[in-house]
Amino acid sequence: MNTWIRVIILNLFFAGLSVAALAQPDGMARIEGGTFMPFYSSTEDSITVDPFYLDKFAVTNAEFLEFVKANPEWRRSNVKSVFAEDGYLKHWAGDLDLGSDAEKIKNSPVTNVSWFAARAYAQWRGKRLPTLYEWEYVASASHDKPLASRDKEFVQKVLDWYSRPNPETLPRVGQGKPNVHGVYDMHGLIWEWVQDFNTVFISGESRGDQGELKQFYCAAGSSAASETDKENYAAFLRFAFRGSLEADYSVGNLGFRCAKDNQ
Amino acid sequence: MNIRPLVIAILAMAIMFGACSGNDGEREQQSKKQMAAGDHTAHAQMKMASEEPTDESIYNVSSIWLNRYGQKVKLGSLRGKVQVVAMVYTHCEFACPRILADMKRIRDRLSEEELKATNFVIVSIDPERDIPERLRNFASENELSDTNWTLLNGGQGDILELAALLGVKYKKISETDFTHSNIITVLNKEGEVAHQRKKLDDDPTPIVKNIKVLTS
Repeated sequence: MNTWIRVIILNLFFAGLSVAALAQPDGMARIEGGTFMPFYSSTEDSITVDPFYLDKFAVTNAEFLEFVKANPEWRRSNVKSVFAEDGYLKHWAGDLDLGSDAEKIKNSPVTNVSWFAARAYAQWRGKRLPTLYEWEYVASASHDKPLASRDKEFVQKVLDWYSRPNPETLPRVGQGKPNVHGVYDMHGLIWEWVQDFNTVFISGESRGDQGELKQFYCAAGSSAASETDKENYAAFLRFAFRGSLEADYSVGNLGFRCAKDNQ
Repeated sequence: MNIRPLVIAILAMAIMFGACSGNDGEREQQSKKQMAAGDHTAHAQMKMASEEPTDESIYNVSSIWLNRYGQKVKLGSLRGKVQVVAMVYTHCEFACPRILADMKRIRDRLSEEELKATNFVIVSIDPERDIPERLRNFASENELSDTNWTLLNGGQGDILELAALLGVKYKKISETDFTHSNIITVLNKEGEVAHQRKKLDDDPTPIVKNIKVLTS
């Protein structure tokens, strides 16, 4: 009888452990839900984000190498051109070769990956790409505030990065301070793909020209005096960048990180 | 006054690509891509008989869709005919009826022979409401025959993927409405994007010409 109880207790213990493991997927931060204001919105339409998990770090070259090893169809020489343009992984020396700088770049974020490739990687990991709103919500946090878009210092840092040219090789991930969610490098390292990047309207199409688009331009074009406008400008740049992308583009400073539903 | 937002947008882009990308290859790649587009038709015909979709074919996707009868369909099953594709939602009151009307107008300008080699595809961006039953009703209300029209319902991620492949942008803006690109895409028999009509008020003549060439 006693042994049975022990077995049951042990089982409960391990069940508990695995639940804990499920609750906090490896290398991911739990993002508590919340509400934020996209830069173009008026006070009435704040956006609510449900709880989810987000990778603490952008996906690195070494991690992406594992993916292409396991999925030959995503190697540079095999990839279908409809899913990735010519520059796909062009900073690597070969299909499975990071090149002479391998040591230097293995922990740097992978870039030159198309949206299709990023999405396939996420699916292979049992994850998905974050939505635009999820990404923007986490990106609006500073190291000590969940919503720092009105924080002068934070806003200035983001803008400073936007105006700096790219370094020759990207630094490794996770060097700075994490933000309040425990997530690193939302600003200052690379631009990142989001799942629904193609929901951003930038050219005159459909009814967008009447509503959203006008708000975009007004937000960005208003006099650049106050901090609010500056923050708007930083977010406007991100939205403008996304709006300029096609899903097969491979860009030298555009990478990604993965997200996961809260279950 | 109207030029100002445009100038700002162009400036913003210039800043983006100047300051942030430092990506020399980008423009070069773009133009290479455009050059490569010229070879596609020849390429497609050469590979016509093979099983694998061509590299530029959107039939490389593995997504599974439901047609108006609730039957499972892969996009690859559309291979072999020229496809005229639009992504819309059936509850749309503004742009979509015009897109559909344009598709019909295109259809009416094709010969019987050309019509045999052409199919029209309507992909819903509103999968929750545009279930097969709704698509069936929509088809009969608008007299969309089985022989020339395919209506598809799919998963959110698969719709986003197809939209990405076609360069279509869309976004849910309220409980009932979407904003979306008004693009009509012509796919050649291999499923490669051969031509796109991007704006509602564009003349259908070029698109009709294109289909005539592709079906011949």
